[in-house]
Parts: sequence; C-alpha cells; structure tokens
Amino acid sequence: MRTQLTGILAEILACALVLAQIAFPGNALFHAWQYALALAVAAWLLIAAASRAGRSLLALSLFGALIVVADGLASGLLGPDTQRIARAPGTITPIPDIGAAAFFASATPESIAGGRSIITLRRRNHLDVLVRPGSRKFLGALLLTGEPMPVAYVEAFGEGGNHLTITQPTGSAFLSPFLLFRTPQEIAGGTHFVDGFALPAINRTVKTVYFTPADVTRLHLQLPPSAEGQAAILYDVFDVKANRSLGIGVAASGVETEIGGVRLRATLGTYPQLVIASAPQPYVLILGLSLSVVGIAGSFLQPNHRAVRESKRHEEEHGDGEHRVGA
Amino acid sequence: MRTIWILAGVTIVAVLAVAFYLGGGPRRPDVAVGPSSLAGAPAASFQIVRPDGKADSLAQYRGNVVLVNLWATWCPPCREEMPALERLYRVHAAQGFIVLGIDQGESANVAAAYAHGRGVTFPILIDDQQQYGRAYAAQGLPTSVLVDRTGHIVKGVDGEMSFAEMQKLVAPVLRAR
Repeated sequence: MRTQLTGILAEILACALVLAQIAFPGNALFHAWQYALALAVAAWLLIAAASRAGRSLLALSLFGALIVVADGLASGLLGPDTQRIARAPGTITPIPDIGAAAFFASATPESIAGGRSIITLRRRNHLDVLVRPGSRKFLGALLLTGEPMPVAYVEAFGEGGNHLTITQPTGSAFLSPFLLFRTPQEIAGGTHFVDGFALPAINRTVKTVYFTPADVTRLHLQLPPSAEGQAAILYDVFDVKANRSLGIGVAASGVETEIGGVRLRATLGTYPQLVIASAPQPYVLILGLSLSVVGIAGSFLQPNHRAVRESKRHEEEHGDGEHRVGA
Repeated sequence: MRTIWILAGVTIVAVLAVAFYLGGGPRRPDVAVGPSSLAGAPAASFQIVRPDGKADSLAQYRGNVVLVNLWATWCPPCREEMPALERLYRVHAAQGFIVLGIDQGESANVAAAYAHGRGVTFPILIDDQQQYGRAYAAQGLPTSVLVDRTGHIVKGVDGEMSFAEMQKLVAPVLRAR
C-alpha cells in the first residue's frame, strides 16, 4: 500500500509539473534548468516506484507518467523560446517557424473597446486556426494563445475639423491609427506603456502614454466624473518644424481633447497579441495521462480481485466439504 | 500482464507516429507581406466611401485591371504622381483599366477638392481608417498595387512611379486575357 501511495504521489507531482506548461503558457521558467531538474527528479521517483511495483497495473500507470515527463522535458529542453507577436489590426505576418501566416483581424473602435478581435492562423493544406483573446489552441507541440494587450484607436482632426492621416514610421504598420503601446517606460514611479504617431499633414508628432484605470486613480489624474473607472491616454504634441512641444493633455477613452491646434480622440481597449509557446505534444500527453489514470484505477481494483479470488478458493474448499457432508 | 505491456508499446508507437506526422517540422510560409512581395495574393477589399458618401470598394471593380494607388494630399510624391496616373487611366480606360485612388486618413472634402482641382477623373475613395494601407503593408506614400481581372495582386510598388514605369507594369496585364 505504501509503494502504491508513493508511486501515485510521484505521478501527481510529475503530471502537475508538465500540465503547468499548458496552464501558464510562455513562462520562461519552462526552458530553465531548474524546471528540467524538477522533472528529472520526478522521473527518478517514478522509476524508483516502478522498480518496487513489479509487473502490476501500478507499474503501467507509472510508465504512463514517465511518458508525460518525457513529453514535458522534450518541450522544455528542445522546444523553441516563446514568441510574442504584436501587430496592427488588419495586417498579415508570416511565421516561418511554423510555416504559417497570422492574419490579425481588422478592428473598429467598437471591437477594441469590447476586446473581441481575433487572430487567424493559416497554413497550406490545413484548416484555419482561430485564436481568440484568452483562448488556447494546440498546433503540434506548440500552444497558441491570444493575449489581450492595451491598444488605442486614435483619430486626429486639424483646423476646420478635417480628418488627418496618422502614420507610424517606427510602428508595426506605417499607415495605422492603432497604437500598440509596446514600449515600457518609468514615469512617476511606475512602469507605463508609451507609443507615438505622426501627423505629417501638419508637421506634428504625438507621444502617448497609456494609463490603466488603476494608474488613473494612483496618479490622481483629473478626468470628468463620467470617465470614472476608465483607462486614459496622455498626449504630448510636438511641432517638428519649430522643434518644440505644443502641450500635454490627458483624456479618457472616447473623449476629444484639443492640444496645440490638433483635436485628438482615442478609443482605448484591448487587441490580442499572438503568443507561441512550446508545449507538450498533446497526443503523447493524452496517451501518458490515459495510461496513468487507467493504471491507477486498475491498481485500486487489483487487491479486490485478489481478495475475491482468495475468497472463492476458500469458498470452494469450504463448500466442497459442506457438499460432501450433505451428500 | 504481458499482453498489456505489448498493447501499451504498440499504442505508444502508433501515437508517436501520428504526432510526428501531424506536428511535423518547420514549413515555409505560404503568404508574403510588404508592397513589393504581395504578388499572387488575393487583393484585400474593404467597403469604404466615395467623396459623395456612396459606398464603394475594390471588389466593385472585379473584372477590370485595377491600379490601386494609396495617397494623401499632404504627400509631395503622391501629388507629383497624380498627372501620370490620370494619363494612364485615360489611355487604357477603354481596355477595362481603372485607377483607384484611395486617400489615406483624410476627410472627403479635402481629398475631393484636391482631385477636382487637378482634373482627376478616375475614382477617388476615402479610407479614413487607413484599412487599405495596413492590408497592403504600405511602408510609405504613395504605394501602388496592381490587381488583375481575377482580383489577384500582380505587383506592389513602394514609392512614386513615372508614366513609363506605370506603362511597363500595366501593359502586360492588360494584354493577358
């Protein structure tokens, strides 16, 4: 019984370590030597328990857990490092490592405010893989997740209310009014994400900072009561020709503000970035877990079979006697 | 018990074979990006508006050879390219050729006033969300994308083109039936 319990505990530990790769995809720890060492220890415990289990169903179960550990070790040691791909809505990005192209769906102010945008992965001769914000999809030994990230849809208006072209010479898409805020920066004792865009028609550049609702509260930013609990954006409008800042202002999502002769409005929300993390090969994982579960279930039933057999033998011996007596 | 181990071994080998086949190794990408490397891809189309507010899109011109030109009034090379585009349109219009000038991010009145002032007769569309610019991976303005009669991209060009360069690009596609 003690051997059985030790073996099952080792199995639970090993499977939990490997399943953590699916629960927390993209964590750098899974590619670290400490993680590989923990799995090696789990494997050693499993082998030790298996050597004591002999040729039983518990041994089969331990073998299943060993398969799970091998699968976890392979993805941790041999799997590629995690890729985080953030692109502007409506763009296409090839991903040579997996022979696919990622289609980042077009977005509208409403869709980013609702965080509903999806990423479609296309491969030749394969069905499309749709990655929704927060969802997880297996692609061979890779796990794809759509990680919601802050994004802003910006509109700029010049004199007379004319709509202005927004360009991002250093952004992921040149002609895009979507700011992805990929650069962290220390501001006022906290880390905030910054981005910027240009308004070439009027020779202005605008630096922006994204403030979450928690940042708004912590920094005591003055927003209208109707914007309470909302994210906010800071604009720093710069005149390129005059080489000077024209002003700084903060506005809540969807609220228009005028700085340096430019009217700016940003809808704040989320848009997914594609996270590609190595993960245990699901077919191997399912096989290992199935063997493990079947083995454990069987090993619990096995003593009962033995007891039934012994009881039957006892009954037969005892019963025969009664029959002889009766005869 | 021996049978169980044999069955387990066979199952493992089968699952590993399937996993290897489905997981596969790295494959080459099948979709290219960037205006100069879009050839062969289906041309993306989005419903936007003309200056008069009527809905229009690239898909409306399927069956014609279309030169999509992404431009803006503030862009000097776009302004310099405009007369050559107009000339090209007039020369080949009877052969089922369209120049589609898609203004990026500006108001309809600004784009229409500019086009009218320069005597532009080809269709002008207003893309205030700059959807075409992102879909065609524009790296600057102007960007031109030639689309064949079946709606596939023949070539994407980054930057200003002369009339002769436009002719060289468009003529073979117009000849192909």
